[in-house]
Amino acid sequence: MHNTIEMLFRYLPLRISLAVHNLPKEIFDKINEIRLRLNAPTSVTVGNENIVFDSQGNPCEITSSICATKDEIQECIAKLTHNSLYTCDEYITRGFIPIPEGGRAGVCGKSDGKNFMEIYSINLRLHRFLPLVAEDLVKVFSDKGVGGVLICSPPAMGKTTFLRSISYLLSMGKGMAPLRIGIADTRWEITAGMNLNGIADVILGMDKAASINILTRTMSPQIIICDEISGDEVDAVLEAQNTGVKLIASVHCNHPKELKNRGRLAKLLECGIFDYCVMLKYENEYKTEILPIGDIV
Amino acid sequence: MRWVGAIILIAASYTCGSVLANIQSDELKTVDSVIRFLTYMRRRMYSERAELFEVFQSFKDEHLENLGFLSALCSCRNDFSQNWGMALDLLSMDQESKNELVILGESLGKLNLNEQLKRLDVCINALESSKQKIEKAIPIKQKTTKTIWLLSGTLIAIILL
Repeated sequence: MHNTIEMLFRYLPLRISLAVHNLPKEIFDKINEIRLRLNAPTSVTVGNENIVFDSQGNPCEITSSICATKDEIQECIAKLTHNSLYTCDEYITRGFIPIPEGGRAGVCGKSDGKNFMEIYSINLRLHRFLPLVAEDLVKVFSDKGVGGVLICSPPAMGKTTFLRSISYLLSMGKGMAPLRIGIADTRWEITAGMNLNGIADVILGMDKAASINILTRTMSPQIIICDEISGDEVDAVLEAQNTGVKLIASVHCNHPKELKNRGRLAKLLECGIFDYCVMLKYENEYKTEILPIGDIV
Repeated sequence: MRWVGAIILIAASYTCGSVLANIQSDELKTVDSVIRFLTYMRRRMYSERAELFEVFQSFKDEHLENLGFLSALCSCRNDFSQNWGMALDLLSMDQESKNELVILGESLGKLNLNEQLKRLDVCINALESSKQKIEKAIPIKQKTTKTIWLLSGTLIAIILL
């Protein structure tokens, strides 16, 4: 885990990386995100808690917290883009910069309607690879057969970590026979920094609907995995289902019942795309609950 | 013997004048090489979105290599603005052209593609016009240098005779 955070230190200005490094161990070990804001508090996210700290790494009030200067924001951007911002135009327009070692840094700021003219905030997300997080789902697949899965949780609860784990386990045949996996990795997050040595085919950087269409038509996967599904992908998913491809997807929500009120996404539930629902929670530790979707919707 | 000495003196002066005249054409060579460098950079950025460090490393130009310009640019991967400043110090160019390059260096790698290409175009155009000026001025300067040295040598030879 430390290696992952230390990997992010190379993109941080020295003053801020020192402060993060000096955070109390119980915070440092659980950091999910490091967020830099121009002339505003720098914070780290632990579970669903936002922690601000001073330049010595002591948690403190917002008013005395360490703030990133314009030079520091620029330094961080320069490091993330290898001093070549123009190489990341298409990603920055979509609000992120791919991290060379895998993963992404979310960005936002002043826009001219299309491009960001100035970047005010940077969100460096840690991409953990915990290979056994989705082990219970593999057991369910092994006992009851493979089905579509919807992974539900509020943001930063480990949906992507779960998807990374299930990608690894299914494509490597850990706990069951290996399956052909197609991964639609729009934001370079699912496969970030991990070597999928199993039978997985990945489309990086393309929008999800197009990726799902291409994977279905050209790679004939047994399962398609994608992050943060939305109404835009409904048609592509339904088409994939007609060819027998199962879908494992995540969605931001507190409970799958909420999806019934989300227009086009509700259609996916009505059409029986998903057989199981995985709910992720954080109550001092990450918890996973796997339920047949019929029981809860 | 005196006449031989005088002829040698005149020939030596003429040679000195020619050498100095050639040094003046080095400025033209430098501007020309830098224009080629910027044009190469523009092409790699536009067509391949190549990173700056890769562009600096892959560009080949004997003149800029001899000046140490390219190795200065590649000397530190993390701080290109410092590299750029160090590299510019090695170039013998008119101040106007150097200023354009300084301005370019301040924004290099910090802009989106369109803005970056625009800045490069502005710099390339400025250097092109500077090159044209140098090209026009150089033959006159070279002739003047050679003539002054030849005449000086001849005058000294006459005095010594």
